[in-house]
Amino acid sequence: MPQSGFSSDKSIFIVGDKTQMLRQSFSLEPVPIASLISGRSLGFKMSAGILSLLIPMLIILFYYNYRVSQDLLMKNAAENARNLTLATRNRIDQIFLGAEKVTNTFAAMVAESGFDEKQMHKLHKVFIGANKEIFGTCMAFEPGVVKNRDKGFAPYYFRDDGAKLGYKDLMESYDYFTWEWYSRPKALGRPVWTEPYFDEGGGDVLMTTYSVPLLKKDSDSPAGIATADLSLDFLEEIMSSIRFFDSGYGFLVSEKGVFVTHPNKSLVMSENIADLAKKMNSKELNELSVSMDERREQLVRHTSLLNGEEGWLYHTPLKFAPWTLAVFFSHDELVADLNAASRDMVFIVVPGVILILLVVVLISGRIIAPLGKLTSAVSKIGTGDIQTELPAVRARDEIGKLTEAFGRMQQDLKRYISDIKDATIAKEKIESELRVAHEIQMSIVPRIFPPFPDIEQFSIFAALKSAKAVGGDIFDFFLIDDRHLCFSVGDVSGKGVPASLMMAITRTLLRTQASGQTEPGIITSRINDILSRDNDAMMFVTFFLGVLDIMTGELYFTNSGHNPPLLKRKGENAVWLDERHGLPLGIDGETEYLSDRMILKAEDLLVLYTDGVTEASNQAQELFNEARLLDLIESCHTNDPQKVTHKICDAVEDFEKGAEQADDITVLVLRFNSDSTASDST
Amino acid sequence: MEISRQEKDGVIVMAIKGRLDASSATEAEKELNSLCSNDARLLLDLSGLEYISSAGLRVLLVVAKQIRHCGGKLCLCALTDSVMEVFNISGFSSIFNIAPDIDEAVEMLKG
Repeated sequence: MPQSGFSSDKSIFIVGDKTQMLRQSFSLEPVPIASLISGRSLGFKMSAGILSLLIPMLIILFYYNYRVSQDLLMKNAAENARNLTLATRNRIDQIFLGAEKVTNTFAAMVAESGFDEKQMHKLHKVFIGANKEIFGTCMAFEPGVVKNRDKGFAPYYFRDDGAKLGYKDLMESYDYFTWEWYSRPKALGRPVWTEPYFDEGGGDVLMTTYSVPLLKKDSDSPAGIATADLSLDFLEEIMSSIRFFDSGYGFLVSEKGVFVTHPNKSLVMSENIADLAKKMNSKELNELSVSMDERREQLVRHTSLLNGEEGWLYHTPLKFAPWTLAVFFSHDELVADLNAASRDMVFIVVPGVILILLVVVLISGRIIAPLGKLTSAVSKIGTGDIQTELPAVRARDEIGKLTEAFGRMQQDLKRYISDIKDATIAKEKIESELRVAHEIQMSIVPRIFPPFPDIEQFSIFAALKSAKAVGGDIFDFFLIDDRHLCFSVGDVSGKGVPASLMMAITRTLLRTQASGQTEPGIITSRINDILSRDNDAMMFVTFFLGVLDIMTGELYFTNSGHNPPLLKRKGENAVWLDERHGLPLGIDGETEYLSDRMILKAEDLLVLYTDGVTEASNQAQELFNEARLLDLIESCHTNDPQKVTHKICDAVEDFEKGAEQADDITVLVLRFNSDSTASDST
Repeated sequence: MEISRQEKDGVIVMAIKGRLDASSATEAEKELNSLCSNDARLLLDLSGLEYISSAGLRVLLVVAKQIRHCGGKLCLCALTDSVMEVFNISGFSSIFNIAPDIDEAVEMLKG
C-alpha cells in the first residue's frame, strides 16, 4: 500500500535491487542449477518451480510491507513526539514566563519607589508571599544607590523550610558584583536567566535565577539587579511525567549544554553535551550539541544516554531561554508491534507455503504414480514382454489418454508380431518348397561335362539357370544304344513344386520309353499318352526330342509345341527348324506324333533353348526375342558347344541386367563332328 | 492382369487384359472356372492380353476342358500378334476356336 510518494519510490528501488540480486544469484551458477533440476522427478521440478517463484515474491512483498509500515509508524511517532514536546515546552515556558512577568513587575515597582529601603523590604515580602514558585528574591544594588549603603546593598528574602521567610544581606556574606547573576544582565543591559545551579546557602535545591537590570529614573546606567530564584523541582516533576511508548523519556539541556534534568541522574548538572560527545567520541552527540546550539527543532537518531538503546530524539528550543527540551523514544518499541505483526505473518505464510508444497507434491504424486506404473509397464513391453498388463485407466486426462494410446500400440504390436510370425512361416514354407523344386530340377538334369569323353563323333553342352520361382525347364541327353544319342529340351507349364514334379515324371518317362526305341515320334506319343491320363490340372510340357545317329549324322526329331531350335550349318546362315508335330504333351492323349528327318554334316551346330531365353525381359519390359538369338548365333565366331552356351547365357544375363530373372533359362548346344575321325578342335 | 465381364446376345464375354502368367494364373483360373455351367457360351476377348506364359496357356486348357464337360462352347478372339505366335509355336491354335474379332466370335458361338 504505497501511501506516500516517498515510501513507494523507496519500494521501487528495493524491488529493482532485489531482482538484480536474484539474477546475480542465478547467473552465478547456472550449470549446477540445471543439473540439479534435470533428472529429478516431476514433483520435485514442479515444487522447485513454484517455490522459486513464490518465495522471492513473498520476500519482496514482506519486505515492501515492512518498510511501508515502518515509514508510517515513524511518521506517526515523529508527529506524536513533536506534539508531546511542544506541549511540554509550553508548560515549562508558561511557568518561566510567568516568573519573568512578576519579577519584571516587582522590579518596576522597586524602581518606582525610588529604592527606599523600607519600602523595599515590604515589597519583597509581598512579592515572595504572592508567588509560590519563587524560592527567593533579591535586590542587589550598585554602591551608593541606596541611602547609607555605600559599599552596596543586597537584601535577600527566601523561603526557609517552606513556611518561614528568611532574610539576609548578601553584601555581608560575599562580593556579589562578580557573580554571573549580577554581572551578566548588568553588562548586557537586559534580563537574563542564569545557568541552573545548586543553591548551597538556601537548601540544596536546583535553581535558576532570573535577573532584571534596575534602572534609575531618567538614567540609562544600571542601579542594580533584581532577581527571582526559581526552584527547578517542578521541572523534574514535569519532565518525569513525560511518557512515550514504554520507556520513552524527556530531558532538558541548558544554554551551555548542561543537563538540567535527565533520567540518568548522574548526568544532571555534571556533564556538558559537547564535553560528553568528546569524551564518548560520539559524532551523534556532537551533532546534537551543534543542533541545540543553533536552536533547531528536529527529529534525529539518538543512542539513549540512560541505557544505550537505539532510538529517536525530538528536540526543540525553549522560548524563555536558549534551553533545549528533548524527547527520546526507542526504535525497538516503535517497531515492536510491527515486528510482532511480521512474526505473525511468518507464522501464517510458512505453513501456507508448506501447505502449497504438500498440495503440489500430492497432485504431482497422483499424476506421477500412474505415469510411473505406465513407464515400468511400457519398459517391460519394450524389452519384449509384450503381454505385460498396462495400469487401469482411472481418468480421461492426459495420462489416461496416454495409457489408452499405449494400450492400442500394444494391441497393434501383438497383431504385428503375430502377422510377422505367420508371414515368416508362410515365407519359410514357400522358400522350402522352392528349395525342394530346385533340388528336384537339379537332380534330374545331367551335370557332368563332357558327358561322353570317349566319343568323338559329337560334342554336347547344356546349361540350366533356375529362376527364383523355378520355372519347370528340363533338358536331358543319353545314348539309347551304341550309335543313337537321344537329346531333349522341355518346359513344363507353371512353376514351383508341381512343375518340377511334372518335370521329373517327364524325364523318367523319357528314359523308360526311349529304351530300345529310336523313333522320337513314337517315344513322344507314348510319353504324351501317359502324361495325359488323369491330368485334370491340365499341366503340359512343351517338348523337343531328337535322336541322332552318331555314325551317319542322321537326325530324327519331334517338336511338341516347343520353341523352334536353330540350325547353323558350317558356312551357312542359321535357320529355324520350323517343323511342328503337335500339341505340348499332356493335353490330348490320343495324339500320334510324327517326326522329321535330316542329315547333320560335320561341324553343324544345333541350338535348343526354352522361352526363358527369348522371353527374357529387361527393365524397359522389352523381350530378348528370337531375332537377338539369331543374330548372336550368326555373329558367333566359335562353334564350340560350351562356348556358344555361355555366350547365350551371358547375353541374356546382360540383357536382363537390373531386372529379376523371371523364368528358367535352358540352352543345349549339339555339334556333330564327323562320321569318322573328327576332332574337338574349333 | 484384369478380367472384366459382359454379355452379348447370350454369350458371356470375358476380356482379359495385361499379363497372364504364373503369378496371375491362379486368379484367372478361379474367375473363369466359375462361369462354367450347362450350355455356357464363353467368349474370351484377348485384345488386351499383352503376354501369356505356359501357366496362362494351362488356364485356357483347363477352362476349355471344363466347358467341354458341361457341353458348352468356348471361343477366343482378337489375339495380338505376340500371343498368336505363342499359340502357333505351342500348337494351341489348333485346339481352340479362334476368331479375328468379337462379332465373328459371337456369330460362331451362336451357330
